[in-house]
Amino acid sequence: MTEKQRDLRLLLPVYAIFLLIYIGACILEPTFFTWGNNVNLFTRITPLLLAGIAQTYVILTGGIDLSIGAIIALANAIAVSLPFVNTPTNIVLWLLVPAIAGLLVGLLNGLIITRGGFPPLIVTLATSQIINGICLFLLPQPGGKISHGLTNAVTGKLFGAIPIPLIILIVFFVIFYLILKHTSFGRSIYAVGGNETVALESGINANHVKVWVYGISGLLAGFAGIYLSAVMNSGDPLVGNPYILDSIAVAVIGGTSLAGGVGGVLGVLGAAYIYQLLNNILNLYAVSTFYQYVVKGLVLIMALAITSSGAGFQVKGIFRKRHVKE
Amino acid sequence: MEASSVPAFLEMQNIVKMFQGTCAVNGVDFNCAHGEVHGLVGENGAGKSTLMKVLAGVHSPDKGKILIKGEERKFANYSEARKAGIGVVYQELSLLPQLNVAENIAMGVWPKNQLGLINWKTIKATSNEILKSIGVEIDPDLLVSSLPMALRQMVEIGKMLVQKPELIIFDEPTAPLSHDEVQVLFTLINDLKKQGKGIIFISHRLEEVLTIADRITVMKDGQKVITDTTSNFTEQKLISSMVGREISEIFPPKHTQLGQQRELFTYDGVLKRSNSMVTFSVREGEVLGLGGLQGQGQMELLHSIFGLGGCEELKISINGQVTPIKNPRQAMRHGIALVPENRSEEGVFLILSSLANLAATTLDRRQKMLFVDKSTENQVVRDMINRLSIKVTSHRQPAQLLSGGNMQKLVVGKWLIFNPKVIVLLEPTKGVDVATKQQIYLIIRQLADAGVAVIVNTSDMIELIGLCDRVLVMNHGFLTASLSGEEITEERIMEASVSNKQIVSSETQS
Amino acid sequence: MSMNQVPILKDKYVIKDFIRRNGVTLSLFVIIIILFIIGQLLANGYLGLQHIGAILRTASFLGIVAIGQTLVILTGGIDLSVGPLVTMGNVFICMFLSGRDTNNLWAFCTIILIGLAVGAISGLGVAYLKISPLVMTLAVGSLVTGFMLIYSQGAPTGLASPLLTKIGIGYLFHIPIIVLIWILLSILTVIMLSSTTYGRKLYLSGASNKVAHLSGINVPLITTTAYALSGALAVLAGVFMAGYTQNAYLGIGDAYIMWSITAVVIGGTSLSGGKGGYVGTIAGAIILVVMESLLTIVNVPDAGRQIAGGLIILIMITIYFRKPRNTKIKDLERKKDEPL
Repeated sequence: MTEKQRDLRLLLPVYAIFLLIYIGACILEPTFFTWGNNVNLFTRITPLLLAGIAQTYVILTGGIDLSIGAIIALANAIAVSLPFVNTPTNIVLWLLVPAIAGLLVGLLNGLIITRGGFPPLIVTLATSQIINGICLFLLPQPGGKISHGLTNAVTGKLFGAIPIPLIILIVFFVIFYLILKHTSFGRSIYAVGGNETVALESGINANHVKVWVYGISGLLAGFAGIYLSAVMNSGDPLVGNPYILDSIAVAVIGGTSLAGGVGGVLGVLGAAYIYQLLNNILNLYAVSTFYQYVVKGLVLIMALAITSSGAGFQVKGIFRKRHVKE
Repeated sequence: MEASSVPAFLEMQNIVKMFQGTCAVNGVDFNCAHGEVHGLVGENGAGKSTLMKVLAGVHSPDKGKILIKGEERKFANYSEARKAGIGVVYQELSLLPQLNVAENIAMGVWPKNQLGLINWKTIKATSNEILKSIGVEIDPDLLVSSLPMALRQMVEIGKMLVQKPELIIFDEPTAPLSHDEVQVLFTLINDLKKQGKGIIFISHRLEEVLTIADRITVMKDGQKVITDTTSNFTEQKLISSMVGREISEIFPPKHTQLGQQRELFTYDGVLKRSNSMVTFSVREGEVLGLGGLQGQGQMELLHSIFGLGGCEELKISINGQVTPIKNPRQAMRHGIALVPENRSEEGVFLILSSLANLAATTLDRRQKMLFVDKSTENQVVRDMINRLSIKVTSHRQPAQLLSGGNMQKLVVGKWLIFNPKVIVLLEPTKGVDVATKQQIYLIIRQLADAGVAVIVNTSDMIELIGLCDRVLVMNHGFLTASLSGEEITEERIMEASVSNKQIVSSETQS
Repeated sequence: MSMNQVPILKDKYVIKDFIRRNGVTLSLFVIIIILFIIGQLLANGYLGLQHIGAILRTASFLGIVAIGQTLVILTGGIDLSVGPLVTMGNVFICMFLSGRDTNNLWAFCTIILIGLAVGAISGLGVAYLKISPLVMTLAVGSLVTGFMLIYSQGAPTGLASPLLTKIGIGYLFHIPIIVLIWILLSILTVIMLSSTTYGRKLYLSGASNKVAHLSGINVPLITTTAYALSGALAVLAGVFMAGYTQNAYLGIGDAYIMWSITAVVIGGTSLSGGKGGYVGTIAGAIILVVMESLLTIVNVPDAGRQIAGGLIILIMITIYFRKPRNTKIKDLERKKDEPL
């Protein structure tokens, strides 16, 4: 089986299910197929996609990032706390500062995990707590404002036709797909996650890779927070909470194995879509949002049950890790 | 070809390597020149793999020198050895199965294009080129996980060749290969030889070594026995060089005349791995040994007795009663015990105390209304610690601090407390000091005397001969010999280990 | 080798050994005393019986949840569903009771059963389907949140029954009843872990799944039971909280995920399983609650407390779980270095 065939096999179920749900929804409810509804979908998917890509990068190295939600909230809080002015410098600041904050937090996560040798689960849990606290300092209640110019810019249409959220989605997706598939850094991620010993023997600096992977995760979470600030036109310290579980779910359903080394970004798009579609459908039928918790939980458990083969902890795979001195 | 006055590419002088009190390599000289294939043979535990690991930088020698092109070198790790021109192909391949062929070969090297992105074209071209140079064509997009073992090995060799080694070590390369695949490998090795590379070829398959090697070195008990050109060797001579030593260990006296004893345990099943029928039995008072080269199915066979799978249509009977065994708990209910091969991963709870370890198999028996009967437990544990002389400063210290021998005693001890009817011991004295070994031998004999069916698997020839009343030998997943009494000799065991003939019945008249 | 020289039971090492083994836990309790003294210095009356009782009562809720978390972490896993389960216990019991005593027994039993069932589902996924505990319990938590919201329509109604309220706010011999319940449960837990076969098997399973399996222990069953108990205990804590506050609150359980894990970590139980116990967790729970109250006295805002919480975990894992990068691992490797 070639790589393309394998990837197809992993992605087919995701996108097939997506198409099924989409077409089914369109048939049952014609208004579903309106342009407005679809734009709505793109707008909502973007932050989930970013969070999913972030988590995918981390899970590929065999780790996990539970602080994505907190970093999104932090970036969100920073974004709405900046001066509410429509100047170019301000826009640049609005784009850079929260993102860099996210990057730094992520790098910190990575450093603590690699230097200390601590389990990523606990470290990111702890840092998420800390970041949530900082976030509350900045933004004790939902509030803050973004310049309307920015909101319009982000949620508007390019050339009056193409929705900006869609462009953002595509741009990020392409960039982070390229990084993963076509750079040595990206390939190192797969190596480190697949078999760290082999990676080390091939001259890859595993710790380096891991630190930057958490950094990227923080960066993407930062962008998600910025985006949300524009879309909601305000800030909310709790905005990041759903993304903790959702980012993991979307990564796993998209074909990335929790053991590391297998998976990628392609499936994340489909999985994010499925999630949003389900939400959208529930909304359309005026089913209470409470059901989304149940649905999300069930979908994730089913995906795990199907794909899990002891992937929970350490799956050394067919090849034994060879003894490496020191 | 004999080495000329030009220094051979590789020269190892007086290498000594010790582990935990046992001397794995004891003053060995070894060399290899460009353009020669040097075969290295010896029994399990002879020290061949250790010697090669020293060469590859995985272990550092306690004494001795390594000279590359006349210059002394010290390798801190495999990377350094690789830079010096040494490449290794191990049995356990170092590939990433979820990635494709080209990527595995290019791991760490990734050529880039102008944009800084990986140049897949170049990588695929390199992959094709390297694989072509060793005589195979593999689609670079194929996932390694979908390749058969022989091709995976080719990819591994390709990956190693990218580093342009001058000396290549093959450690048991033909074990997973079919006859045809071996021929392909040999053609490759000859090509590499013609290209001027030095090759060290470790294998148990003596006919193959005789075919491919220019010179052969025989190791035994950590020392070099003989090095000579292949033309001066025959399979017989190799075997007799590999065996024949003074038995320095003392074994408890064996039993003769066991033919009349009743059968305590019988095994009848089809081993999945080889699809061959295996039948044998253990008589009262008999210590049954299972030998042969490593990895010939012994583990699968013995694991299946403990309910760990690997065998179909399995029928086991204990004391005449057929018992179904589906998992370890069920096996234990019928009185079966297993001392596993790898004590630190399968036998000992490293972070727990000796007390917890020893009591682990018999908790339910001492249970009083959901509670642990601590006084009885302490008594039983203390008795066992004393009986086996397990050295602990406190029975609460975590087991990982104990020596190998003492850890092994914990494993054996917990099963002795269990009081089994059948006990299977896998490599019971691996990595264990001499004094403990003798204790274990004594225990094994005592168990057999007490009416327990004892099956021991060991790759240590002396042990097999000295300890067992009867020896079964396996090769390729089926039984090739059943030897008892005077028949148990190193020559016959060795012959059976490389034999391809399956025996019909495992019973011999005594 | 002489046969009797091994000093095991009646050895003179007993006292030294005891301190060495339990030194960490003892120092935790010393820290508690120090914290209390600091409290008294900061606010007169801190050491009053009434106040200590209130602190301990708050600690009891955490302590009960932390029992389950301790059990699960001892198996080498983690339970991230305790938060939603606490909330569910809180909300459902109010709705079942509706402020009357008629349904007490039925409501209580039902809710505990639900907790057991939910925990068992998590356990089954982890033990038999080999799903990572992190994701499994996260997903189950989401399910629980959903069911709870649907059942209560997002606006929990109902009230605790008079009996439950009496338990929640009442005292017995000047000690809050909740604290007495916690003491009882703590004793049961400590006894279970140290003296029952199940407890022993729990440690064995956590120390090494593989070795335990090869020693005849039913690892999946033990693991599932641990998760089931965790579910039941989390729900129980929620029920008692309802007795204390009389009303139900939707966010009430959220903080308990972090807090229960922190309490266990402070207590010295190893996150990889097989080592530790509940006594340390008790200390951890009390420390957390006392620290929280100290921070409140000093007027540290909620944000600051969250930050402190996260920092504590990081500090604790540095103290407890420092993997000396090369030394210990090297030693182990050398031991495993068997010549082929």
